[in-house]
Amino acid sequence: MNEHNDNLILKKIHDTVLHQVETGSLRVHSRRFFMIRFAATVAVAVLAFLFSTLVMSFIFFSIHESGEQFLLGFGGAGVLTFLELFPWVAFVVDIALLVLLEWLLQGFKLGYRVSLIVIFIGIFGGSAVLGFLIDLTPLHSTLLGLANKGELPIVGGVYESLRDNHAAQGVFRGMVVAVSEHSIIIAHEDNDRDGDDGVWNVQVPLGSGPFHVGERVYVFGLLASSTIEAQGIQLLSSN
Amino acid sequence: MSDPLKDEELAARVQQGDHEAFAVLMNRYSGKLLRYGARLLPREANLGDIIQDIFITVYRNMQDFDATRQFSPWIYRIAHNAFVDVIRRKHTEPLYVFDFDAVIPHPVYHDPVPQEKEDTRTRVLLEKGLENLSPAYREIIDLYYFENFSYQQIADILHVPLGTVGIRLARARAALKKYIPHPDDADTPPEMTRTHTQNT
Repeated sequence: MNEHNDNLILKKIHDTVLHQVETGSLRVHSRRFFMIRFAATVAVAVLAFLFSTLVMSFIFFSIHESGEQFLLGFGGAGVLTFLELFPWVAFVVDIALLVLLEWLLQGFKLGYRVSLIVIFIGIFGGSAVLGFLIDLTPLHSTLLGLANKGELPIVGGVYESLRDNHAAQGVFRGMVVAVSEHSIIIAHEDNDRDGDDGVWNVQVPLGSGPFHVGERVYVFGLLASSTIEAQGIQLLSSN
Repeated sequence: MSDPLKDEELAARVQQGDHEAFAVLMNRYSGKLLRYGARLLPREANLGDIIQDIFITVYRNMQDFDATRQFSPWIYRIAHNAFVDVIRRKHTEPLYVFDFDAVIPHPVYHDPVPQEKEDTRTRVLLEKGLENLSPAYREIIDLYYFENFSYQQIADILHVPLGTVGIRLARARAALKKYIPHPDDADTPPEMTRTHTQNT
């Protein structure tokens, strides 16, 4: 591009833009427009963070409410099953929210002066800590109670599924209805008439127990014709 | 209107409705942005229309400019976004698909080359080598050596951490070595110098 051409291009740009400015066809966005845009960005960022925190707290709640943290103590097979049953969907939603938040923060000086990984670790850590604190409150237990009564719309099914059995993965929950020397009988009935209800004879591994009638237990083991050869049994909270 | 007013003062006047102040800003920046675009964009890009759109965006967003800060990184940021959009739309070159250097933290290190007087020969050589580089490297060489921005200003234009500016510039220099022949020593890159004058 030679100098003469450049000058012609610049003059044309100059004339066109200034003509638009002077005729009023090109106007400055008002200060209010930018204030509203800023406020909207901040609001979306705050909502994304809060929602991510709630999802994170649900992940914590779902792990201890379902009893799946016990799997980590049941050897390599337990760890693999833990990973299989981990609430990955909620985790992916959480990560997506944090990525959205990070993208929004890039518009602010603080958001790009620090490397992406540091910001991500910061917001992930913040979300995890707050999520853990929310998990200590009765929020999710209350929602679970509502879900069990059928009074929680939209996400009720998600809460109800926390106590489902996963026979294919060797995970069972139930109440102890009978106790003998080396086995117990557990029953699971959550009134939804689905396939995870049932009664099983559980072979108790050495060193486990004693168990008592009325206790809720979490069993990890192999099922063969209504008998579970347990690799591990843990007591669940009674609520 | 006389020109000695600073860019920021002119921008403040535009915010108050002074059209002539905007004309002065256009005079100051149209040539610079044209050169910036010519180095960054493919030859077939319609640079005139793109620069015109940049000035329209600048005018519309004038109230978003904080007159207590520097004007040049602000207007170059708008230009950078416009140029990146063009490259993305045209799919002519890979651009910032995943910038690993912006993901992990880097120590902030400064240009080891002393800032000496302008070396015209170096600039000619740099310009020759530029078109062989990727847009990200081309852009950072342009902003540093030709537009005379500081590391901090480049960080504000590209919205990357300061450490990323340093590492990207070092990588761009290393890539450039391959394309710049040196008359005395083929393995040694020419001295890359820049003017003392910072773009303000």
